[in-house]
Amino acid sequence: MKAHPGTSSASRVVLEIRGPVTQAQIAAATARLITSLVAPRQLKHLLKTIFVEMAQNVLKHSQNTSAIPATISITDTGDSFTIHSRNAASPAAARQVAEIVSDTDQLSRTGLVRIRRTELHKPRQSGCAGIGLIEIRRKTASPVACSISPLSADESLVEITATLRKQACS
Amino acid sequence: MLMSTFEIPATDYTPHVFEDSKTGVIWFKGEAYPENASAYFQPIMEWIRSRIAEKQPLKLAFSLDYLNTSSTKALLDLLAILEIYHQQGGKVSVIWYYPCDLEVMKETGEELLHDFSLPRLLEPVGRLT
Repeated sequence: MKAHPGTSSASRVVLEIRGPVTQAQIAAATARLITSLVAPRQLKHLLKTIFVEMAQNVLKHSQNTSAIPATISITDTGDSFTIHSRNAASPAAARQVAEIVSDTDQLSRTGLVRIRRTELHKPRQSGCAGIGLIEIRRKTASPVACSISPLSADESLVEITATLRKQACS
Repeated sequence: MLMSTFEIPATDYTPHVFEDSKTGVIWFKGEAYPENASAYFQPIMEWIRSRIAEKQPLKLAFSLDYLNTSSTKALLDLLAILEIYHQQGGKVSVIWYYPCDLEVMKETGEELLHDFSLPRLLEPVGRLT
């Protein structure tokens, strides 16, 4: 795991985590990042929310036997932060992620709040990143990009990209 | 501050959970994004259930800097238990403290308590830094 806290107007990676990682390492990296960023507290909190939700997925896939390690990174592009995650998953799980991203893409804020509430009150399901993705979509107020690439009959590569605009939070 | 026998110390990603034996308030303070929220909150739920079985009044105070969706779900399960107790005549109240400069945490508290009739107070607090 490596962390590069800091900001500048140039586009650069400010944090990158590569699996396998532990929850403690995620927390430590998050704390270092948030402490080092010069930004409004609301923006820092939203960035933390998105990063931690996506990092949980990296953590979950850290134990995978896939040759492709799960990764997550934050890039400061000047006017926004781009949070990108990549991990291998079963084709079924990958399809599920793509469906959730697609289903929530066109929803209004009210619709996202409603669907989030519905999902939160459902019984727990293991291995589903649904509510986290809804939360990311809601907090960024921007579409979440999702790319699925088949690796084999048993494995697909899932890439998720969320964008948090700085101006929207200032 | 006096503590009861039930206490879960904080980590960088889990809250300090304890009962202040002087005031009787059950506190949740800090960060809440455990690796397995369901497992983390299980002993807390059991403890709350035991207090309900004794028909104890319950005052819960949340002063969380952050909680992820899994923890939100676990807290909803906890609030659902409290709601049933409340509807059966049990004395329950909830205070949700949020930083005055962090509207998102106020919103989180409102959303958490939205579907419950529990007596509640959302209280802004100043930055302590």
